[in-house]
Amino acid sequence: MNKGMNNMIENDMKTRALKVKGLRKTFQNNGFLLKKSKANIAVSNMNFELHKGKTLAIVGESGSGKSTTARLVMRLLDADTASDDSEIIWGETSVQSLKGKKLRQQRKSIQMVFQDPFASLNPKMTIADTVGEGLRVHYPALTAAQRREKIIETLALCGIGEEALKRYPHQFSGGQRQRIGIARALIVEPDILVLDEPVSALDVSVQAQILNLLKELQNKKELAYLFISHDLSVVQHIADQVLVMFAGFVVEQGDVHTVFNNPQHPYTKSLLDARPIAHPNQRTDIRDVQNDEGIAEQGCVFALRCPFVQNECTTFDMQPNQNGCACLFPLGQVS
Amino acid sequence: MLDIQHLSLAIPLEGQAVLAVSDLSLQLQAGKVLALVGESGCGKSLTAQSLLRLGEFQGVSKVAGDILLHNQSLFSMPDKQLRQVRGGSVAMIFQEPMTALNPVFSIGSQILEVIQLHTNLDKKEAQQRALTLLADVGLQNGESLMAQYPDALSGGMRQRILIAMAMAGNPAFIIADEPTTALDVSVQKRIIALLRSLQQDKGLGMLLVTHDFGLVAEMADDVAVMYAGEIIEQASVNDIFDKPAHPYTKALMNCRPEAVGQGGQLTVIPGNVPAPGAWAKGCRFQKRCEFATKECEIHVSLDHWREDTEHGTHVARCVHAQRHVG
Repeated sequence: MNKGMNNMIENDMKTRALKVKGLRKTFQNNGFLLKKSKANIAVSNMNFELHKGKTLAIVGESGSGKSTTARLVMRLLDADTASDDSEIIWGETSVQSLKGKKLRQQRKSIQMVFQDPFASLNPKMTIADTVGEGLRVHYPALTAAQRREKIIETLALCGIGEEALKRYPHQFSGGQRQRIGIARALIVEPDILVLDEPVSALDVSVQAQILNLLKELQNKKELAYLFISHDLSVVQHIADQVLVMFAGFVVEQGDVHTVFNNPQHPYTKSLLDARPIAHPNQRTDIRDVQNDEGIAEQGCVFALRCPFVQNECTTFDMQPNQNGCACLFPLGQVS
Repeated sequence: MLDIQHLSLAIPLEGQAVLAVSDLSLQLQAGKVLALVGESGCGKSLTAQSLLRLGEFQGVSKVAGDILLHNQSLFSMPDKQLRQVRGGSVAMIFQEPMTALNPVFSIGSQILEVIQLHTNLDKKEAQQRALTLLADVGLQNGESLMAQYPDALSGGMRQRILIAMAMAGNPAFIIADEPTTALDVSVQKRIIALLRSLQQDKGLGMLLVTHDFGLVAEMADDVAVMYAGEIIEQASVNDIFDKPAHPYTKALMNCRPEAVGQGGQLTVIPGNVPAPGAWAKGCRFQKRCEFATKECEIHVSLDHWREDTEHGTHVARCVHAQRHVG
C-alpha cells in the first residue's frame, strides 16, 4: 500500500463519525397463542459509514426497519451477535459490546430527535429541566449557574429565547417544541444526531424552518445526521447519502443524486414514481392497481411486487452488487 | 350543491366564544373537487366538520351564515333528517385510518352498520352490498376481510375500508380531511388514484382538506386557500399553481423542499398562524408578510383583486395582489 493511500485511509478515519458493519436484527415472534415461533428479520446485513458534517438518509415504507435501525445504532436495542464481524462504531469507539456505565459514558456522542414533538417532551417538566437533564448526566461537575448558561446558549442556537426556561411544553407550538427537542439533543455536544422523521408531524411552513435550522446547525458544528424519513423530497433536499430499505433489507444505497436521478432497484424507482406531482399538468391517468402488498419468503423480498420479476429472483440472496443495489436485474443507465 | 354562505363559527376558548372562521363562503358542486388549503390552525378542519355539523360536539357554535344542501339549511334541519345526511348524502373520510375504525368490532359489522343505517336492505342484501363496496375500493377478498378486525390490516387497507364505508350511503358529496397524510408514499398514490376514479365515476362533489400541494395538484379542480379563519385566495388549480396572487399562497408553495434544489435554503414563513382572537385588524397575514405596507391595515374583500381567466375566476384578498401575481 503506498503512502498516499495510507493518508487517505487516515483522513477517512478522522472524519468518520459513525460506522455500521454487518448489522442484523431478528425479532422472535413467540406469540402466546401461536404454537410455532417465527423469526422476523427486521434488519439484515446493513453496512454504512457516515462522515462528519454529512447526512445519511434511510428511506422506506412503514415496517421496513428504518426505526429499528435507528434504535440499533443508538444501542437502545441489541443487535444480533451471531455474526462476529458485526460492528457499530461511534467516532472511534466500538460500542457493539459495551454495557452499563461504559455505554452510558459514550452516549453523549450520539443523540436522538424524535418524530412527535407533542409526545416526546415530558409535559410535567419545564423546558429548562428537559433541556438540562442531559447535562446533569454527562457533565455532573457543572454548577447550576454554568448549567443555566449552557441551556440558554443551546436554546438560542435553536431559535428559542430565554423566556422559555420556566415554561412547559404545552405553551409551545409544534415547531417550537421540535426546536426544544433538537436543543435537548445538542446540549451534550454530540457528534451524531439520529433524527427519526423529525419533520413529518409538522406543517410545510414549519417543516421548512426546521430543515433550515438543521442545515445551519450541521454547518456550524460539523454534525453527522442519520436522517430517517419517508418523504423523498425532504431527503433529496437534506441528504448526501441515501439508503433504501425494503422488508429489513437494504435494496439500494449510494449518493443521493445518483440514486434519485438514476435508480437501479425497481423498488427505489417505484418509490420515486410515487412521489406527489409538482403541477396539475403532470397528472397522468393512473388507475388504482391493487398489487400484492406481501413480502416474499424466499429469494428477493420485493419479488411479489416487482414488475420485472424473473424466475431467478426466487433464489436471489439479496447481496448488493458493486453499485450498492441488491437486484439481479438492475434497471441500468437511463439516458 | 352544497353551499356555504357567509359562515362564521366560534370556538370556546378559556370560557369565551372566540371567532375561528369568519364570513366564509364556498360552493361544492357535483363532479368537482375543491381543495381547502392552509396551515394547521387556520380553520380548515373546522369548516369541513361544519358541513356535517360535527363541530357542535366540541362546543363549536355558528355565529352567522348558513349551509344549504340542495337549498335546504343544515341548521334548521330536524335531527332525524340530519342523521340521514351524515354518512348519507354527505360522507366523510377522516385522516387517521388507524383510529377511525373501532378496534373491537369486525370490519364486516362496521360496514354493515353503515349500510343498514342508510338503506332498507335486508341482511343478505346488505352483505352483498358490502362485498360490492369492498370490490369497488380494490379489496377483492371481501368475505374473509369482513371477518377480520382493524388491527390485522395495513394503513392502506384501512383507508380503503373507510372509503368503502363512506360510499355505503351513496353520497353526493364527500369530505376528505387529509385522506393520505398518514399513509406511506407508495400507498398514497394508489389511494389518490382510487379516490379520483370513484369521484369521477360517480360524479361526486368533493371537499379535499389538505396542506399538501402535491395532493392538490393530483386531485383538485379548484383551490381555496385559507388563512386565519378566512379564504384569502380562490382560483382554478391551474391558476393557483401558475400565478398565485396572494403572498401567503406563494410562500406556502415555496417552502416545499421541491421548490428549491438540493441543499439550498428553503423559504420560510416567519412566525405562526395567529390564534383565533389574535387576528390583526386589516390583512390577517400582514405580520408575517414581507410585502406588508400601511394599506394592509384595512380589511379587504376576497374579490379585492379579481381576474377572469380561461380556467375560471381568480380572486385574492390582498391589496398588493396585482404586484405579486405570476
